[in-house]
Amino acid sequence: MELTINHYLVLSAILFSIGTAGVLIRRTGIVILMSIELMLNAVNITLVAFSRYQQQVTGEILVFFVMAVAAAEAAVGLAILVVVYHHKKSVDVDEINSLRR
Amino acid sequence: MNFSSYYAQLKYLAPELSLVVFSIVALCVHMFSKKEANKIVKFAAITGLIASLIILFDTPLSNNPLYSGSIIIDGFSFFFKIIFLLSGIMTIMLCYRFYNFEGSEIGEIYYLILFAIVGMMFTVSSVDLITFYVSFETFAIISYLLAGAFKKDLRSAEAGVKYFILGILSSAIMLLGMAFVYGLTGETNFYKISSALPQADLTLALVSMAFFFVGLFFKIALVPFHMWTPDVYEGTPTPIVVLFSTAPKAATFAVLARLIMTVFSGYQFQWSIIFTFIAVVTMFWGNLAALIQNNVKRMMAFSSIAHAGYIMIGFAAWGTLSITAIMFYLIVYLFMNTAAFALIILVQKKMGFGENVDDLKGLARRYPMVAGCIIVVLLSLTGMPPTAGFIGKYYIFTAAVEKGFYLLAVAGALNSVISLFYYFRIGKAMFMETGTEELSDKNISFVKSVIVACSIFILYAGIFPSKLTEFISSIAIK
Amino acid sequence: MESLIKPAAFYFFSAVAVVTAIMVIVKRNPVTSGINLVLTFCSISAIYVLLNSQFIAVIQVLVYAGAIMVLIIFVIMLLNLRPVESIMDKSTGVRIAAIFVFVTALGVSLAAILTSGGISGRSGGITDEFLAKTGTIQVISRSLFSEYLLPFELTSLLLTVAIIGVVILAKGMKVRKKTGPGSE
Repeated sequence: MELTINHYLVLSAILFSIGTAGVLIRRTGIVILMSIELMLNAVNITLVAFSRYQQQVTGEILVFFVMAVAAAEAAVGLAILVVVYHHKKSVDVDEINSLRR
Repeated sequence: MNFSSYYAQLKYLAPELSLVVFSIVALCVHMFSKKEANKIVKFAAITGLIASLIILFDTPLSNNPLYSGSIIIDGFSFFFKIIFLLSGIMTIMLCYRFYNFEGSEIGEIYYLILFAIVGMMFTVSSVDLITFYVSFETFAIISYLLAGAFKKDLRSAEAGVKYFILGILSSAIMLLGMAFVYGLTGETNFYKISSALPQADLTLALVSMAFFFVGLFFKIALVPFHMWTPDVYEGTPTPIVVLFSTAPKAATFAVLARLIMTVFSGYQFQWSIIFTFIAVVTMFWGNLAALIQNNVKRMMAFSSIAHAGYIMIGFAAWGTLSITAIMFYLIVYLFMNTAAFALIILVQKKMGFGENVDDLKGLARRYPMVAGCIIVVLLSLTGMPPTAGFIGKYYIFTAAVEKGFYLLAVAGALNSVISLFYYFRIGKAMFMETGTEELSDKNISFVKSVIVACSIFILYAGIFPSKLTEFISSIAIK
Repeated sequence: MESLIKPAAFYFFSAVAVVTAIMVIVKRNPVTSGINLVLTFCSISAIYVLLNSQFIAVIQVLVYAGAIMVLIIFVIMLLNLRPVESIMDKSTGVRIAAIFVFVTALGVSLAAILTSGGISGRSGGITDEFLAKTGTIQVISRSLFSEYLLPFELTSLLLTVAIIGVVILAKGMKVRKKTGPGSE
């Protein structure tokens, strides 16, 4: 039995969809952030798989940059969530509704 | 590949580098000065932007990609860099009144604005997926920060969270699209992808294109990816909204133009359908939702959504004519939108009050000249002659008709009529008899001069559009 | 026997990754979600090893499982977040939309991948044998510091911005004892 690139792509698609579902159904800000990290990881699997099956390293370099961006995003996102928590004592995104609808 | 030319190629990056130097200097000054720190930083930031604008005009252009095919410093990117720098200058000028009035000024936002502009300048120049991704995320992350940085107001923090979550969600989806574009071709350079992508599987190429566009459409706030716009615009400090509603949008439109010229050039039939649909939905949604708003900031948020819809007509009817039209419309939109938000800053009272249409009452009596200029701006936003807004819409609709998109042009014209109603409400309120409360005159001169300068440009470009059009078509993307 | 080890490892780690990923989104306690996410990251790292990309596997553990997750769990502890009563408290419309989007996204991507006529990219000539001789880090870093030098330098801008941003958001935040929700 040979592992083809589709094995990795399907795994990545499943993880990406789980992450999307997490963002859509959860309301705790931090869990939403974790779900998005999961989505980025799914993309990374795609990139590394493409990169290796084409015998390149470009995709791995892109993964390197995605990790830098993910770290920056996580830091900034957590800081914003902490600010909201100080105002409302909650990180529940459903309660973020003082803006008029 | 020749890597030894990297030093010599630095001269093409002079405007970006000077901005970085200025922001680092501002950062150091801010760290070590105690009194008046914010004033110094603000001054340094505005000087840096003006210096960068001057250097930009002296920077050589090159139609060959630099840095091993990472970026290209062509006329197209040159034009957009002018838009970003002008937007930055006007934003910081408007900050003077806003923060003197509201207090709790944070000096850091000025060098964040500078860094964001550097990010956008690299974004419009990038012709490589990796450079594009990093620079795009740089200004995206600064946007989330600037939205949430006005900490005394809960609405700002909420705007930050909303913008952040939806923003990184859409950028993750865009990244998936990028991953597939890379995977299908094995290239990251836009030009190389463009020649390799047609050999790839059609379904996967289209899926990756759709994913790629989601991230861009989100940044431009096109329906159905616009949900964040009214809330974020309302919660964010008004001068920052001036930046948000102009510069990142222009940057993303520029990237979209570059992508459909290179990466997805083989799929014109497919993206033309997507853009047509999005343009119609966006125009109608933006204009109809703006009709029922009482808060001027939310009204202008929907109005900016609608204007993005007009610009999408140009993208649907892509061609030489529409490129010029889009670029013309974007620079006019910069001035129209800035003036409209400057008006909000003029009448704003503390903590988000003074944002209702009723708060504009009596403005004409108090500041007759400003009111006159705003009438010009409102005419331009609606698209009436003799303003630049009319010329911009005329070019876009002509481009649509030329390519046979008659219904799209009709829909655009119909939307201009709808928009008349809510812009008219602003105008009517200004000329109403009495103002209820006294406004403070503190630091008003900068706001006034921004509004006057914008309206002068709008009138000038509306009456003598040929010079601007010639300039734009000489540097437009080929 | 030899040919079975790789597929077996792939299926094992994929299963762990998927199961823990589902745990991340269905657990009521944010800390449990966090721990499960660490497990997901580690099994993804194993997948990278199977792909012969050891460098990415290492920084996956260092950056994701090591730095980002520690930060997230630290913030959960800092805010003292309690388990929520129910994970799906959003309105029914949103939930239906979520399930719809989930099924569509999964369906479309799976259909697109499985029906595609294979990947037609260009070969870069960096084969597994070549990597075994030179090592992944050398190949990646050579490319990173020549062809991709500009984005690499841009990353420094990105990280500076993130640091400044976190400082301005955290600076001057007073811990207030008695504040009701939404009060100023």
